[in-house]
Amino acid sequence: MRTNPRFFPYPHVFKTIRYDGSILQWPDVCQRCKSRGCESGKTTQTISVCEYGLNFRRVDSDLVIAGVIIKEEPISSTSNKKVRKRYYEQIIPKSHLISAIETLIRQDVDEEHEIAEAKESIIREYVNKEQYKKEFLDPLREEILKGLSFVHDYKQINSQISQNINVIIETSYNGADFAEKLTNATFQEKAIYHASKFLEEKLNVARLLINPAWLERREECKPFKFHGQVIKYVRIYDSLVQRKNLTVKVTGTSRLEVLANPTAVSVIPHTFIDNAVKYSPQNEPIEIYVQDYGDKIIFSVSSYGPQITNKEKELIFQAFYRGKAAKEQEEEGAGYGLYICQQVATEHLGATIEVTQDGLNKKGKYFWTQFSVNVPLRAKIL
Amino acid sequence: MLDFFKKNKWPTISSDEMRKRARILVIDDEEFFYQTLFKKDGYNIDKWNDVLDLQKLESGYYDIILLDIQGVAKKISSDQGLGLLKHLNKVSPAQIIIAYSNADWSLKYQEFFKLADATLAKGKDYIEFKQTVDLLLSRRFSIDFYIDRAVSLAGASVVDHAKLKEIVSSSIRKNSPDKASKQLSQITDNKDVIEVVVRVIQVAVQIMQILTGLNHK
Repeated sequence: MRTNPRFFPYPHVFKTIRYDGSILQWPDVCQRCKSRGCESGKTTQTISVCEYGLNFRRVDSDLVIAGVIIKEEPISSTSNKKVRKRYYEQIIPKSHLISAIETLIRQDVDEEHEIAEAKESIIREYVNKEQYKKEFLDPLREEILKGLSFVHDYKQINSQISQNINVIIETSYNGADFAEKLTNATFQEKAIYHASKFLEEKLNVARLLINPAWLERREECKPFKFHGQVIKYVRIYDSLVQRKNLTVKVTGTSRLEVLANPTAVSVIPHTFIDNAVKYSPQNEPIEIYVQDYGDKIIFSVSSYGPQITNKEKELIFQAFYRGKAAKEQEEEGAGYGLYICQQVATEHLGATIEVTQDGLNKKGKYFWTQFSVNVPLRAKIL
Repeated sequence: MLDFFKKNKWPTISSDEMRKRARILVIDDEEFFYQTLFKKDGYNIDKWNDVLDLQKLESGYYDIILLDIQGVAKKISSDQGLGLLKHLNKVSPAQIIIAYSNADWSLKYQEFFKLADATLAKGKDYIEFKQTVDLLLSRRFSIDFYIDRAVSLAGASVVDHAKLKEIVSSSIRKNSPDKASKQLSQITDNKDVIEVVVRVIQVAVQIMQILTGLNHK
């Protein structure tokens, strides 16, 4: 934002207040003027003339230079000629006006730069003194700890559910392995098992949200099949998919291993599939594509979903931001899934998640939405 | 001549035999519901709500210990499970410990998970518990585990790792932990390292004797 131009040579209006110039003052006719035509109008590069025959030029929304007569400007009427004679001391060459404006703009740039440097220096000093820990982190510590204790409690309860349902399935059904036994289990037992896995995954996401330092830990990295993670989440979401009568199609071929933090990376397929299932209207398709491509794996999830405006395309990756249409459609959801995903992609993998939208569905309400990322085979942090 | 080689060969046992022979302990103040499944599958598994017999733990009685970090060993260490883990690593360096906890989300406890031989979140499926236990049991009953453990414990104190491996392997096969001490002193001055490596050799010799006994039955 512009600051008041000190020592500007010509009369000017800054934020609706009139200031005399250091060389020229306001002529008396301007003191009497009630219409103040020079102060209205949009920013323009052109020099205009007021009803009294004096020239003015708006520099930006805050500043207008006025009360001068530009020597080169044409004289359009007899009255203007009279004004020129009467206020001849206000006449200046056009080049002087332009030069004064250029100097002003340069000063502004310098001043902005100085302010930015000063701000940066204050922040640096603040961080170096570790004052922020006392003023910012310490008051928040209790809240963070509360969050941590909730995660721990939920994990504790969930592990009991998980162990008990495992015991029931393992002891009640025949099968070559657990997967086969699970297939033979009742719908309710399967639902409990998957709900428990679902909650475990959600708690893993919460862990990254509470402490993003997890993304920087090299010791958490190991090789894993990204394709396997995708299939895992397709299975976990199977009951929800069935409930909404959605059809999930997985295409592409992927056998490559990724060397990264599997828990962190799993947030990406988890969130993509979670969002697709959550926001897709009933009876619509979800298309999942996982394809090895050179030294990366192309991964995308496409489904119908609420509109994401161009403005929102970046905002939806910010913490706790939820698109307007998404909020209207789905009451639940905190808006951190895509934020964590993008954090994992950029800070851990060195990739970027992109979102595109086109064609509406038959009802004309939902847009075909694709979230995609190129997963590198090695985490950026390694 | 053939007898000599046979005598010095590390015995092998079947996975069924291994399961029957192995002793597993869970230390957790919460219930461990998979105990019934482990028993059903033929494992000898005990469950303690807290450390009931520290001497038994120090003696290496159990082949594998599943240890929780919170709510146990409070009397032994303020670090609870982590304190016990550090203690056992010191006095019983060949002890296999699985860090078994719900606290895997917290960075604060990462030392616990790093020091352990494996980690298991409590919410994992039984099949993952079983696979982890089976894998560690097969290591427990293999000579390579003891050689690797000795190298890892020696760390930078021993430059010639090939020589160290040779000494450990030979001392185990020949049942001569006492001679190992002298041989080790030729490759390192660090008495603590020598002591700890000899202790690993002693455990390996005991395991070898048990396995040999099983094979002769």
